Amino acid sequence: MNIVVIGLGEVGRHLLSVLDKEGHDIVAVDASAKAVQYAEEHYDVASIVGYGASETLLKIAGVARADLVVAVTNHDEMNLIAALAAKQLGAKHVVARVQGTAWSEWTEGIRYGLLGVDVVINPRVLVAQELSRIARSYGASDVVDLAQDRVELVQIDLDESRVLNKPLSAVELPPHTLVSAVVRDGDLFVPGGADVLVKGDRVYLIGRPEGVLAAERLFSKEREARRVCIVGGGVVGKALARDLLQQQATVMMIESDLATAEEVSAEFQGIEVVHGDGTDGALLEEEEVGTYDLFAAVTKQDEINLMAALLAQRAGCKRTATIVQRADYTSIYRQLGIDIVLSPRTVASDQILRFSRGGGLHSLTVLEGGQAEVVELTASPKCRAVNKPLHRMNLPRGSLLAAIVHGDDVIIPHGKDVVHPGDRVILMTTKDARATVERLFRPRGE
Amino acid sequence: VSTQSRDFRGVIRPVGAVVLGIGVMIALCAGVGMVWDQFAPDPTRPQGGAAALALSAIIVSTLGLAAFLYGNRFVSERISRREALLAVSLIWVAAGACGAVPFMLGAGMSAADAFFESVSGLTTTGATVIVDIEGRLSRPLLLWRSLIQWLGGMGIVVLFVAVFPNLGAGGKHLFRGEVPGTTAEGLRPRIAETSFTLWKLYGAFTIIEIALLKVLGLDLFDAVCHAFTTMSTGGFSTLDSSVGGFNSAPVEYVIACFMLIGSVNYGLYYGLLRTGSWRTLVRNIEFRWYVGIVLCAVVVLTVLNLSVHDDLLTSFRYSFFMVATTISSTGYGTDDYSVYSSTALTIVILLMFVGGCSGSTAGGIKIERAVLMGKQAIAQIQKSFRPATVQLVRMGKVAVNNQVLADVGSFFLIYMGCIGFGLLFVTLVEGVPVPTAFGTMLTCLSNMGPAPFHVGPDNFSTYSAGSKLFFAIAMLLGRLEFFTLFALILPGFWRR
Repeated sequence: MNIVVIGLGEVGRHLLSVLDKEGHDIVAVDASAKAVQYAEEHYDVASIVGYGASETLLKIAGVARADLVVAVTNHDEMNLIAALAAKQLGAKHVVARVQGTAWSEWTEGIRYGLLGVDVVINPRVLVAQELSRIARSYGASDVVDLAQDRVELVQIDLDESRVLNKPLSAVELPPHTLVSAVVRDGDLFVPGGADVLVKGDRVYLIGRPEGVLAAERLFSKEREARRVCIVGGGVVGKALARDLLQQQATVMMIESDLATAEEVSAEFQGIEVVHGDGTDGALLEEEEVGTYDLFAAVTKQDEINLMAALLAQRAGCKRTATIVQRADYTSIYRQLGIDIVLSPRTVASDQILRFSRGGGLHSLTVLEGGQAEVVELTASPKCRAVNKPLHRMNLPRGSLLAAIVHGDDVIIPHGKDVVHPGDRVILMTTKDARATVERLFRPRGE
Repeated sequence: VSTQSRDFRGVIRPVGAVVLGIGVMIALCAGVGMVWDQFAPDPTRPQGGAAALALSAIIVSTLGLAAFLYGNRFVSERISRREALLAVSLIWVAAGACGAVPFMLGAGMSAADAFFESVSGLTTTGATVIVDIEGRLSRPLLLWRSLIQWLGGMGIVVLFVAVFPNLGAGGKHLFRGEVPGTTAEGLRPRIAETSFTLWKLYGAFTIIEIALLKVLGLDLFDAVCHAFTTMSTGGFSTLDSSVGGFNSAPVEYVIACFMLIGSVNYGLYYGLLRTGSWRTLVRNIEFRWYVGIVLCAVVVLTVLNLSVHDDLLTSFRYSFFMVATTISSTGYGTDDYSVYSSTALTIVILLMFVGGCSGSTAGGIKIERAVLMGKQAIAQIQKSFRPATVQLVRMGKVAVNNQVLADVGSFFLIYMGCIGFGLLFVTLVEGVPVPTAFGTMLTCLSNMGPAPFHVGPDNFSTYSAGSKLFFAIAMLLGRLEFFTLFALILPGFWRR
């Protein structure tokens, strides 16, 4: 696939690293010679230094023949113009990332066909939505909605729980749920009935939302967050506040800039806004953040988020969440004891990556830094996997058919269940099994 | 500063893979040569030789396979810059050594002679130590001698990168180790595809030339061997008297044209094929200079050589060939330049210095570098009386950045430094006159072949084993354009 990536910041680089490994023909564009040199050095891509929205440059980059053009510079307007121009020049698919405040009134996070751009992604809104889903969950550290909210994937870090130290086959999971993956010491595997969960494992549960909620109770002692403290009234903070208020949660927001604080207070009714520094331990004590169910630090600055969350933990808050701009920091934050660490960059690149796969793919979620992924796709009538029971489908080791959406029905399949042509299926696959799985579900001869 | 040395075992596998490939190629020559002798015998040449090649193939393949399997344990995730430079250097030295085995077993040559001949082939130099080619080399061996030149022409590492597409950015570092500069890159976004495209173009030109030479009445064997050594601008011939031995003007013109084709940046041909318009070719500044230099040199040389040749047409025929063989650094001979006037000989030597376009198979300083240095010099002179002006060096519309200019300057300095050092070495060790020593160094560093100002026959057989090794290193330096091999000499390369 011919792909042009405009903007080589965090998202751009992450995209390059994944797309390069997948073997696409990539042209990377950035205005900074340094960023371009970095890309040249580390990835097998062609590169151009220049202004990403310039028509001449786009022509040289070959957008006319491109299957996918991604605009992810730090300037929203540039991204939109570049995507538009690329579309006009004949690019098949264009995606733009925006992150500005003006766009925060959206509730979707993704807009299709906005101003003629195929897909406009606002990762900050997406991250806020993910946070609010986590707040609603019982102890999950990540929640992903699939198949238009009919299937849910949650990530839970196991502490003390009834499911530990016995074979998975002896764990009575609620109906319509599955343990799709286990991460132990950083390595992901697809568990079998004989595998035993131990303290410190991270599990990925998948299933119908009501089943998953019940399963969460089994796996974790946490409860839904009814009282949430947010630090930072930016795009993420506001979007999160809006979602939480809709869920009738109690929300307190700490914002250091008076004007922003007043603005938020005016915009949202029923929210408590505190003007102060989120990293001020005395303030956190005074506002009794320890009594809140969830503490979410979502300012633009990674350091502030980290310190605020750590202070909140010391003040007695049981669940802490932060966003992190530098995706590299994620694992360090986790090590320091932050329960939920989300990166807008990762969210954005996950969204964009699915376009690089083409053909019937509806969504793609990358787990554990690329060790595995969850894909949602429509089974083509001509593919090898349809019209035969699951146990004869020859799914490779390290992959799992997690759900079949047949019409309005969601089936968490067993050996005898069949995928019909046109069904949506949700698959989990490790990196090694991916190619084989894709072959099974792609039309023959493609 | 830590003096802990780096772990470079990751390069064993690629080197092993290339050596294994060389073994397979030798086996191929043994087989094809044998079949050829079977079905179209040529009694004028020495018979047999296939067995020696087969034995060489077994030895080389075994070594390669062993290295490959051993190296499998140290595969690095991504080949780093350092590893790439080391791998490219080792690949060239190892390929030279392995390519020498058939010469030792098949023609009874000494190790130094065989290594010289093999490296001379691989680096497309075309200088030889074999005095009686027609009487000593069997067909399988001649085929190998030509094939090794063909492989070295577009580059064994480029071929390696094309065959193993999963090297990622590491492949890019390897590619740059063998093809420095920015020119041939970027035909396609992925380096493996770029390499493959280059080899496809190269192969296509070779096939066309084989067909043309066959049509002009050459024996198929000679046509194949000469096409291999023309497209690579190498210059090995199957005849003692080189291309002149065919004594056919049409053959000379065809070969001259293909030598000129081979010294143009292959990226331009790709642009031509993809866009279908001549614009990319004609608008390329380096190409314009190249055509200009060739035309001027041909005209001047034709006129000057009227003193040697009787009529205008004969003079044109030999002068045109001389310009083509020299600027492309091929080194075929149809004419004896030792009888040329001093001015004509100077032109030949200057052409040897300059060489062909960047991104081609030709050697020398390369026209792009020469043009850049000229423009840079003019800019500097302008600055001496108008210091406040901004003096950008441009290549066409594009301003060339200072990094590239510094690179070109260093290249030239290293090139001249090598000639200087070589002069000292050769005059000291061999005791030959200064012009002779200069001729040998120039021909080795620019991968040309024949040495101007030679004493006795135009051949390297009279030099000592030590000097032959020295010349072989000079050829490798010239082919890899210095930086790759010299990087290994700096202590910082090995330090952690």
